[in-house]
Amino acid sequence: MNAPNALSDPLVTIIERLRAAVRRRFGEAADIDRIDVATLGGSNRTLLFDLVDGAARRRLVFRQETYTLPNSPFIAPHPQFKLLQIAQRHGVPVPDPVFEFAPEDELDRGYVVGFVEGETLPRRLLHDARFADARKVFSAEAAGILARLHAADPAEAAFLADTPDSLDPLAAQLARLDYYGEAHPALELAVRWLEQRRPQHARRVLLHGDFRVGNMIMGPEGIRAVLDWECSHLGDPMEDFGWLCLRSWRFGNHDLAVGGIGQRAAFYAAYEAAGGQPVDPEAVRWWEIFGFVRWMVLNIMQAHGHWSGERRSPAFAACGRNTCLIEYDLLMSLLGQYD
Amino acid sequence: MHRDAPELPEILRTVREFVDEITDRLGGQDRYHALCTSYLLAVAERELAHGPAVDEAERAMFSEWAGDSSRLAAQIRSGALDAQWDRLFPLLLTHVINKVRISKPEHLHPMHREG
Repeated sequence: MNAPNALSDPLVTIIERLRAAVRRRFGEAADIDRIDVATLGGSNRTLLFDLVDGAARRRLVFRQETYTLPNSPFIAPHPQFKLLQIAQRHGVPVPDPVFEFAPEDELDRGYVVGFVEGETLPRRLLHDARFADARKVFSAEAAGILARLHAADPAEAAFLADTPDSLDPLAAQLARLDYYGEAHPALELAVRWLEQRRPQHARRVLLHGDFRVGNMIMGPEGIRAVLDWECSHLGDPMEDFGWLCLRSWRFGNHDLAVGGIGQRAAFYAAYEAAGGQPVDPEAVRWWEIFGFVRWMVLNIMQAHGHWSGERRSPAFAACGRNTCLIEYDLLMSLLGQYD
Repeated sequence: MHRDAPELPEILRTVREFVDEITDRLGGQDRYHALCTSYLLAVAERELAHGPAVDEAERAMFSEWAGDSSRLAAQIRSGALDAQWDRLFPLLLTHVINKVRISKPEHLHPMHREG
């Protein structure tokens, strides 16, 4: 993290506007300090700061969208903020949604949420002794969170009803793949497999859409907050299961299908015990095959952003050459060698 | 025309070794990007060493299928090759294994590792 005295000029302007935005909502006596830059990234800017109001001090997070990819799979900050409010109402732990930017703030698109202390790095969460207790309760907690989210009335998130991923998630992936213009014959074989076996009569619920280790803040006692709602959409509840169980999110703990931490049977049972509808393991498998396709397309997207010059970075270039690792896991899963 | 030493593989290795050497002195995003850069250089080294032989083998392997990967991908998506699944699957698995051998050979299941 950079110290405030190293801040570049545009950032000084943003901080002044953030201070004004805070005073508009919390009064002229309010101030901000202890500002840290978390990311100045290609697609969003994240700052941490203290809201100081008299003797009270509260750590908050400023998130601002800085760039929108064409054909982006991510929803905009405004629906993200609404989703945080919906999730919170349904007992899903999320960073507390504090306020959204308004036009008079001159901060473009974004919002402020409460800071949640904890760990997000999968390597530490899967292996550090400090998180041993958190790992013991992970399956039950993750299942409870999904059961509560999936029980929400999808009409509350009607603003998501017409997004490509809500309308037809497989078609949405293919439209993006075609836009990036890269041919993957093996991926297409998997798409045929998927087309011929689409789950029937699936319920339509509010999905997180990117529910996995890495997108949640955890403490030694368990899950503290679910982050990254920008892939949220309406669909089959088993889609969130398939994504969480995707081999790519086991981070080497291949025998622990649930995020590299838990076993499927315990997780499925915990979901049903928490009020979730019966889990369909065949549908979960379909969504895992779909998940590989989707994860490939996301990596192809990152590589496209790099080579097209929209946002260059060695990390995005590496994503391009990582795509075949996902494609390999996909074929091995279709073969039944991996589960 | 002969060029002076070092040759291309040696140049890539030199750059990668330097990036590896400084990585531990970097923090945050710079460190992450250095790790990615080293990975990309190793990919380039493997592609330089094995790419031409792989391309040659794949040309022969796919000669009866559509000619190039875009056309093959389009034909598969159209459903025209659904009946050929059992013949296509092993070929495409070999093709993907070839790609992984260049990107990250240790990602392969032991049954697909060389040597």
